[in-house]
Amino acid sequence: MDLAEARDCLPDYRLTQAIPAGAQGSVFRGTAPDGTDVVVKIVSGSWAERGEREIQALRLIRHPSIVRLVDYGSVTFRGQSLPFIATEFVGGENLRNELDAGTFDVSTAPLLIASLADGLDAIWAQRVVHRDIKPENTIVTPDGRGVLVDLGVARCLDMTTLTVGAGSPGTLGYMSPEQARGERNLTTKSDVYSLGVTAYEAVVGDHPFGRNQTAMLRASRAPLVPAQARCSPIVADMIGAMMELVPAMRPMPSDIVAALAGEVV
Amino acid sequence: MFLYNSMWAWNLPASTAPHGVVLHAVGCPLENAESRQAPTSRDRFILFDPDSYLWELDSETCGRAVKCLESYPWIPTMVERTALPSMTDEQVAAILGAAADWQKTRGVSRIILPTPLISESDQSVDEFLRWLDTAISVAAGLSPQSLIAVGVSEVAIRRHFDTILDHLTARRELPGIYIFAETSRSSGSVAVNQDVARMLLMASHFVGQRLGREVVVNFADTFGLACLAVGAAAFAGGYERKCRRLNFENFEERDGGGAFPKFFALGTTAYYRPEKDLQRIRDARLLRLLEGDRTASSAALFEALKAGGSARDVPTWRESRNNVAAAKAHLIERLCGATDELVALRPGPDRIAWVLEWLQNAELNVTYLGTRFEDAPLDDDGRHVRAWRASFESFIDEFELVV
Repeated sequence: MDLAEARDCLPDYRLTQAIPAGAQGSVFRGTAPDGTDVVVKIVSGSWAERGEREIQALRLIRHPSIVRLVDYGSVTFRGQSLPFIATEFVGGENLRNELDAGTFDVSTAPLLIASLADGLDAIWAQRVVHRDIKPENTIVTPDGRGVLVDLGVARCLDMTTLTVGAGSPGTLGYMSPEQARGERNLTTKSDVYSLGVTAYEAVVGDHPFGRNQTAMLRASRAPLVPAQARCSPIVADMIGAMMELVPAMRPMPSDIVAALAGEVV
Repeated sequence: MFLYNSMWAWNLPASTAPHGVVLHAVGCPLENAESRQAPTSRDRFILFDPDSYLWELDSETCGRAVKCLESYPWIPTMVERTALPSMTDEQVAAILGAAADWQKTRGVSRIILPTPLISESDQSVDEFLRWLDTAISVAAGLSPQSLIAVGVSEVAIRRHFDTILDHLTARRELPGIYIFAETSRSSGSVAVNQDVARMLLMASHFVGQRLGREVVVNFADTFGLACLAVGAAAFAGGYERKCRRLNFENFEERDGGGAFPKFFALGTTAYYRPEKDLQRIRDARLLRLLEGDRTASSAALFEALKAGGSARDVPTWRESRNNVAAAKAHLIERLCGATDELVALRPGPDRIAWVLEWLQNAELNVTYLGTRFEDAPLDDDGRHVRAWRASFESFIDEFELVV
């Protein structure tokens, strides 16, 4: 769906820009009828169920580290009813872009990690698992906090890293071992693992398994944060704990927040 | 704590003093249970197991047990059982509430909230997780504190336990757990499956020690001591087979009389017949291997054997049917003593070292006794200790627990 078609589908919205997206649908930036800056996602037919799931999850969650649901509903496009989701536009930069450009301020990593963990705590309080935590789905706000976007649905969106099929939604390079095995009943500990990989990348500047992300599937343990990384031992140890292979050994999100409280600048 | 599985006897013998008891619904029909005086939690730790994991017992072969179970309000009827997955959360909460309310009237120290047994590897854990979350909600308003039952069949552990443990440790509101393995598809008097041992150790360590929740292990026999060392608060066991491991066959009604007395030796983790085994051990000058297992209840037996006499000379240890009071009292004394010794140690390395020494020595003793009695083996060859020791060692290696 292009911008003009989207405008026809949502005449009450002032859509200004199409944002590159993947197979799951079309994404646009614009303004909602109430004047809120929003990102609107119109979910393609085969992804409708996931769109509904994201709406259900976002309706339950109110947290500064989770993108806020502004509106949702359905549009008719070429005779087909498609769900749409409007979330608040989050000012800041995508963490992936910052890492690739080398502009991420490592000294803010504890705040980024702690704020994202706090968001995970709020998600899990509703028994929801994000399942696709990665730099691409993280916005770094101007004050250094993290905001998670694309809750639950954008799992198979990313094509820049190796993405597994519909049977195991998520991005392989950031998946917990249990998620990669295709386990159905994941918990927040799976998101904690993904956050650990994201955090490692943020403080080290590289993915823990480099370009060979499939090695994660065979690894008996994730690499430790190197001693020369620009972070305190507390942060390094916490990242290591987050990437433990056994979920029970990983900290709960609230443990991460508590452990990093003294590290936040 | 060592808790005695008082399966059939509602009241404990006055002479014995375990740290606590676990009463079972399967052991006594509701009307009898309500008319009897229950032990009080003032002087003992009292649990009442709703035994909902026995829902699947066959009423044809286990008539007495099923009759007891079905007298309790939280045991669904056969029709309801087949509809378990379609029960609403409110119906599940009502079952849990009924189990909790009744336990409160009996003055228990903790309330056990039942959940469905995870009995097959190809079974989904969705239903268990639904009960878990409902039980957590019910537990929030309960006093005394609750323990949520977690029962997994030995054949389902490998497939499901990591997921279950993940969910247990990811729920801050979890009050505590009462965990056991169902081992009906194995033979022997104790559970020797290494998956079972690992599951119990993992639960004890991650839920007990790391999460700080109360973990009570049942049906693990003396392997419960190993669970205590890594984080469990208590373990339950007993004398009869049905109290030592959870095997559905043990609830079948068979012809035959009562049990014979058996002498429990922690030094070998085995049970010996006083006349048939202990006298032979004495004759081989190996009674010293069991000297550490002498208790007040078995002192007369030891004296008789050392004096060259026979267990027949000690009426309470004579090998006759149902003459088991002294053997039971000895077991309780021995396990309470061992538990006291273990928990007096510093949590962590010292307790782990105690268990390692116990299991390694027991394996050594069992191996030597096996060599000496190769031609006519003892009643209990104690071979399970090798699996227990291996499981414990691989657990402390896997999780780098310092000794």
